[in-house]
Amino acid sequence: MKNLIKFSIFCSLLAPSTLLAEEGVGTFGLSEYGGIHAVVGVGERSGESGQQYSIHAEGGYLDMPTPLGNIGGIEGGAILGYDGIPMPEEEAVLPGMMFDMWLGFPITVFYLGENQTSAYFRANIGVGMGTSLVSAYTFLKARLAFGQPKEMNADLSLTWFPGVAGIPYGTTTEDLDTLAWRSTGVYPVSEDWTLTYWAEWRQSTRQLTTFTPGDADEQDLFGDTTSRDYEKILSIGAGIVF
Amino acid sequence: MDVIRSTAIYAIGASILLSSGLAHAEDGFSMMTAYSATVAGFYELGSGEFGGYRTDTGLNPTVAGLRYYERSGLITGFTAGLIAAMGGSMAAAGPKSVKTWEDQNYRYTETTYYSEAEKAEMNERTAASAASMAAASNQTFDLEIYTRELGDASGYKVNFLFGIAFDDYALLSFGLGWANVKTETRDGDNVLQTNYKYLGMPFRLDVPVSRFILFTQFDWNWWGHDEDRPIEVVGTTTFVENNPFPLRLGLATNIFGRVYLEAYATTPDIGSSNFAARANAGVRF
Repeated sequence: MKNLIKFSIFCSLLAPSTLLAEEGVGTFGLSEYGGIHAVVGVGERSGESGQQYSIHAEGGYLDMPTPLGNIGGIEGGAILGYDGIPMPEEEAVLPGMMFDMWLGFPITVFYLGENQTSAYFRANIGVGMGTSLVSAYTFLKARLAFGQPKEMNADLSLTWFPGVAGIPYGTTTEDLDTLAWRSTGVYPVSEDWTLTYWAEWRQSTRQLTTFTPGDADEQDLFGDTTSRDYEKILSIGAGIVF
Repeated sequence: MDVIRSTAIYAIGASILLSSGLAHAEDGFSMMTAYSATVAGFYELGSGEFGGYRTDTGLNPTVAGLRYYERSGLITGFTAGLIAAMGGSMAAAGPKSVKTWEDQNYRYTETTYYSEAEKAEMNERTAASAASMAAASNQTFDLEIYTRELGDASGYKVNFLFGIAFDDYALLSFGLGWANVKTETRDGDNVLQTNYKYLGMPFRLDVPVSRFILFTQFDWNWWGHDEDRPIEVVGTTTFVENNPFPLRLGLATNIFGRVYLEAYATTPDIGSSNFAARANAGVRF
């Protein structure tokens, strides 16, 4: 949260700048983007390790200018696969299965570049919502994208899934707070084929938020909030852009 | 004297900054109707919708956090369109009618399904409806995330609104929203804990005046009036569940082209003598 506030203060310092987002460049330097990745993940959940194998499909459309010169749009994705990282029985909606579906609304906040064919550097932020087999969630995302269209494009994003704005399944007393660092790249290799990579580090904690007034020991509800590491997963993958 | 002098210096500085910023402020009508996204911090003091207005503790939480506010964008329309599309598809895939009757020792059930032509027509209507929702002008999305790192409240509140414009004069919006915010406020041994729940319909009226927007917003809380909710006292801790019907009245402007400022007074219930004040400051894209 503190980092997000610092980020928003940073953005406000940039406010008078004329460099703030001009029209012309969308996701990965393209106004429209669609890709599919085969992804392998390794990590641990509640102290037990395992692997994940999944297919990630995602798309974005970022071509809606504001009068201030920023560009907004929509992005979304779906994940389907096998989840071999053990999960406590009470938290598993469908044990062994991996599913995630989300919808986000990014908008540019900063842009350097001449036009749609020149090298560029772009920052965008956005909110979104989705559901997996672990929780229904809201997220806030900050992303830096850079590259040379038709040669190389890459991005680095930080997504925060605040526990207070999510509903983890299988529990009514815990919040699930997640941070995900992700990088994706797009490399055109021929007229017909464009390859893409995926790399993500995801770290979640579960926070006990019992809210029942009781005896003296239970009065300090927020002060006694306990958090525990829930999962740490590294995912890498490759795919194609269409 | 030092306090007076420094206060005067700050006041003069703020006035110069504000008047200079307002010289570059966006027109209120454009601000009200143009596509924009705002990221802002907010800070609230007083006896507002999250506070202990139903108790005699005299305690009220300081409420602070981060806000994402989108006007005339995509979020509300796409979310409503998605829900409409899912509902329409489920309706088309489900039965048209189910009749059950009994005859002597037997119970009969007759299920009629939609024909392929009817399904196609329903799906077409659903798609058209979802598309029109997604493209609706004057839609608003308002997400507030409360954090105890800055104040005494933790949780979120979200409102999705669709608006009807009355020429250049006003924008009347209504929609759907929900919230879950918990607070804990301490004064020595005295502790106030509140649990705020909201699921209902927000109504908002925006009126552009020069370089400002005057607005009022009322959240109709379907959880019912909180007079019926119990107040529990355990030792020096008071716990109360708040289901208010808050009303806001405020002013927003946009200086230096991108800096968004908003301030409003709010009361947890119309007719209540409890009031709080909130300030929002952020950047608009």
